[in-house]
Amino acid sequence: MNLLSGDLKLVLPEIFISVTAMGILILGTFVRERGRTWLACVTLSALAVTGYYLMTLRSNPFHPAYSSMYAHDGMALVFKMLFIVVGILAVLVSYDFLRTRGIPCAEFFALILFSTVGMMLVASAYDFMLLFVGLELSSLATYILVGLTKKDLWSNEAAIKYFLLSIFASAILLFGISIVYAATGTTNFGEIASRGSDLTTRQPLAAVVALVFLVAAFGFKITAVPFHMYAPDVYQGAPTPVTIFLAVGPKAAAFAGLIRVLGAVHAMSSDWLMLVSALSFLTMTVGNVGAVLQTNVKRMLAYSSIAHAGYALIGVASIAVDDRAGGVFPSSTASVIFYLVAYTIMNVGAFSLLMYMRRDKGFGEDLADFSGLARRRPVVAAAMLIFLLSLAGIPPSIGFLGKFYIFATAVRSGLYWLAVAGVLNAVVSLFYYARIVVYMFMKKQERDVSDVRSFALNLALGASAVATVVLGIFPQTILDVIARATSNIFTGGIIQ
Amino acid sequence: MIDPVHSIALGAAMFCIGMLGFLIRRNLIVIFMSIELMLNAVNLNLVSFAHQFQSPHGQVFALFVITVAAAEAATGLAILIALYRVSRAVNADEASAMKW
Repeated sequence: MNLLSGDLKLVLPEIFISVTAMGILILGTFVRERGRTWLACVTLSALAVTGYYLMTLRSNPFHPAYSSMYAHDGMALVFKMLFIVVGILAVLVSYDFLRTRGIPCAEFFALILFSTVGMMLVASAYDFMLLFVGLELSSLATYILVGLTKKDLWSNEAAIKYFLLSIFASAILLFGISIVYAATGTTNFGEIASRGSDLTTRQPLAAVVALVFLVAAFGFKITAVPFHMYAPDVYQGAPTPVTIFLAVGPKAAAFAGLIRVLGAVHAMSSDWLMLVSALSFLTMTVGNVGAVLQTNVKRMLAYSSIAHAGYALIGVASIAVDDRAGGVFPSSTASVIFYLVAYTIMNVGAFSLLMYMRRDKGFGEDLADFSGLARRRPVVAAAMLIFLLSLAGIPPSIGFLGKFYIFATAVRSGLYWLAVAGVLNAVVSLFYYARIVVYMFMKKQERDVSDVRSFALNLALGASAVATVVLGIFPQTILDVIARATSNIFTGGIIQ
Repeated sequence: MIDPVHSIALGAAMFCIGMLGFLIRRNLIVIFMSIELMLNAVNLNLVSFAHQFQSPHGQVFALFVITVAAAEAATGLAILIALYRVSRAVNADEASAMKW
């Protein structure tokens, strides 16, 4: 009997990572803190093996597995690869942090892996049930990660805020799901898409209420304004490696879930164009204005990540109008995914810079701590410059291309006002990104900070800096992969 | 005879009470209980519509929700205790070291 036949082959990555995570938990009780390097190596190799296996999986054509619970398509595969990369980077940036803070590393690595599994399930969800379980699995692990430094007041406060608001969002999501179920009698995305078409005329109220609840719940998860209030506090209070993971992983997963859900309910109600564009506009603007007011760089980057969610939402709004690829331009879904890849790379880099300076008992995270960094550590400052230029959207960088494709998609879909708002916002964002550059390169050292030297951290920083520039100049390979992957995804009632 | 309208009205009312509790109450444990009420409102909706459609889908979904809620309760109370040990805070107003 071939155990690896059929559907089991498709979920093997999730199973493998879950088993590894449990193994690490057990192993951790035996090797304690001496085996830190071993545990990190096991985690990294498990992720790398899974990534390699994902590359060998074929996604053509769209294939619903496990009684139509689990979607196996190109979009799922691309998102899973992204989550694997996020997991690897999170392990690298946290390695020396865990040692100096005395945080038990087995738990940390296991939680990162569990959260990664949850995000992978979200990317593959083809039924509200799996979507919910995946979202909760990834969030449950991150609640604990945020509160991992138990003696730290900020960490605990961030954890409780994140926990309460996140399960509040889950309750809202569930209520939306229950209304969809009440209206259609199913929780399967494919069936909702096929049955929902006559619902708008039969039960217009149910369709609108369900849509509002679903979009609001995902708004929480992707930190869209006005559901963003927790994000700056949580990102600032959480231990920095966790912030890095939180800012890129679960957010990208929520975007994957949002694209799938909107595709499914599109037939039920296509009103979401207005809803999502309004959210996008608010998110960009409030995120950027909030960032201008900050003097703590970690909090500034938290606001900047809110603003970036707004840019990505422009692409999501364009999906409602037109999701076809035209000429050299990728489809709307592809441009959102490309933006998320860019966002991940540059944010991991920028946030990990916060771990290079040590002051008192914590890290130097204020603007003043960055003063004179270029003289003290020119290479690190240059890397930060690359990330900041990329975040601001200045070529040649992956951040520029990401914004370019998003705005091009918006213009093609006729959402001119959103494109204009996005460009204006990018100008505003230049102000606060440039402020960090000024402090690094043009000011004398103001504060007494000691440097952190860590090989694993350098590795993650170097990799993301190189990727930011190289993919900014030669994006074709990764664009091709994304375009091919999104050519056969399930989009429900949306024109493909 | 219980109409589906009755059950969805009850579910919506419970959900609204839970949401109000979440927004108004200050004690972190009561806030947490309010969210549990919201989750149970959803369960009620799911189960009553599963009965109406004569399909087990909603019932299974409700079981998943209950399981996840239990896991969340364990995690959430652990975080609450950790916060209490550090700051002696049980009210939402007291957990405000970070602002703006």
